[in-house]
Amino acid sequence: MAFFTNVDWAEIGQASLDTLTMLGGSLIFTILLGLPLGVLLFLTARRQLLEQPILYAALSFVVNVLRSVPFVILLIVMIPLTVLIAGTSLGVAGAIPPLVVGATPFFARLVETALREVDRGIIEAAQAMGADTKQIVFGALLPEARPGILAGVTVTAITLVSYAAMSGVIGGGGLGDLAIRFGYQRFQTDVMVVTVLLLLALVQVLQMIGDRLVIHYSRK
Amino acid sequence: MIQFQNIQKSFRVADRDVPALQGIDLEIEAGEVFGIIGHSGAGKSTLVRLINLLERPSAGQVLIDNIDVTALSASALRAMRQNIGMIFQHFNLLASKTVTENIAWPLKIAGWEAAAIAPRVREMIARVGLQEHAHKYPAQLSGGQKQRVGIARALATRPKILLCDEATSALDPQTTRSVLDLLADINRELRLTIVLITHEMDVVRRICDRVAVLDGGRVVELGPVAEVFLHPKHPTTRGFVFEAEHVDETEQYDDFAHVPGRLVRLTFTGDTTYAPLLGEVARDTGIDFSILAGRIDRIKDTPYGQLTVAFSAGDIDAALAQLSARGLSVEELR
Repeated sequence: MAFFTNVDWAEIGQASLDTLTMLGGSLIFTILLGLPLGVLLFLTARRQLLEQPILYAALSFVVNVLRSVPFVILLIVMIPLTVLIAGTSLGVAGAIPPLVVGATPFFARLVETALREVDRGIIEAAQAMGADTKQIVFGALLPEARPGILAGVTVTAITLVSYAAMSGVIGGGGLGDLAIRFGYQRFQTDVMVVTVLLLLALVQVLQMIGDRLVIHYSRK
Repeated sequence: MIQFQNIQKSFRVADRDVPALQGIDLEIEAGEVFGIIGHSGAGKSTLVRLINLLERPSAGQVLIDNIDVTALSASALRAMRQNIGMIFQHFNLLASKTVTENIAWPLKIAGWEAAAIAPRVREMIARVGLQEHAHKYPAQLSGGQKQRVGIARALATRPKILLCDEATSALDPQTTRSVLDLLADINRELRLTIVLITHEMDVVRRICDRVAVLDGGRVVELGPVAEVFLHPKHPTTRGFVFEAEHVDETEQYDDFAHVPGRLVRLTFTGDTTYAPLLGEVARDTGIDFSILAGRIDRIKDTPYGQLTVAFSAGDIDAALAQLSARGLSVEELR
């Protein structure tokens, strides 16, 4: 059997583009929602600037629930909501809402952890200067935690690549969809190999970019 | 300028109140360098943080210029804090920002115009001698340079008060000296009130005007540095002086047990330090003396000498009376 006889390169190209679109779109919304959520988790935790035990417990509970639902289940459970938000539960547009809901709690926790790594002395110095909470968050916490947050973005982006592939199960489009429809259901191993290799390359590139950014912004 | 009135502070640890400060009454004058010395756990860190209310007292009042700071609203408190600089043992600089950006930060917080910030930052960088390092990140600086950035940052908004939280404890002795000299210069130039906490008597001796010794959450000794340093009364104070001087009095007395005559400790301060008093008095009264131990040094700007002397022969009582009359402090040890 000649290799790659089943591979339709035009379709692979389109699927790759779809995967990148799903990744980009969902990553942007994940950051837009997850960053404030992570900051809020950090600030409302015990012995922090806006200590709010009840709010923290509630946020923390929701985050934990969403994180403990397997992504495949989340995809299916969310279909009605997805239709409401994106107009469809299929294709690239239909994949983005569940990806965002799946990744946001994860990313928020990474942000919270990165903020906790900031030296408490810096917060104390800012308070001693008469800074309010907003000035402390934007002037000290976010700049100081930037390498940690960028590392979190990298991990989240890579998680989104695998989630996006999984969304092929419900017709989400992209490389995962191709792998399931051709590679798995029609036993076209060569399609499977090509899609997996492309996903692998994508993850490598993301990790490399992430590492570079972290190093660039680390001043220690 | 700063008054503590019957301050109590306790921390809640595992459902129990652990007292940190128990009835502190202190008044710090405008323009002085006030030292608070104590071992770790004595409550000095808590005490200094009461001034800018990083810690709130459990009871009692903190007055700054006769204003009760514990009664201020959140925004009034922030405005007040913008007029109190603070430097820290571990500097607490923003690692992600350059020297220039670090010093500009308190000015941004205080709402200065961008056009006014840049020249003020340049002025402060020049004042602490870091012109070469303006665009470096803290990680590229030595400990002493980092603390200079801390000082420039703390003083950028022209505060009236500077709080120093173990500001030299992470520095080597030579760097400590240069940072203390800078603080002393700034105190003189700006008539800045400096409150400094430390566990080293040497720091107190070098720049403080007055000192309070803190032990177990209480002030156990308070006074002008020369007085406290040369005539320590409380055991904790004696311990600090011993650490600074490497003199163990009880050990010394054992060494002097076989020395004949009357043992006296003479303390000279100011001009008498350099006067030939001992020789003059000896000629007058026909006494013999031998110097057993001694030190001559400075406390801030005041020279002092402290000698342990054995007197024999001649009219010792007359000699001691003469020395007393000429301004020496005379303590009979044996």
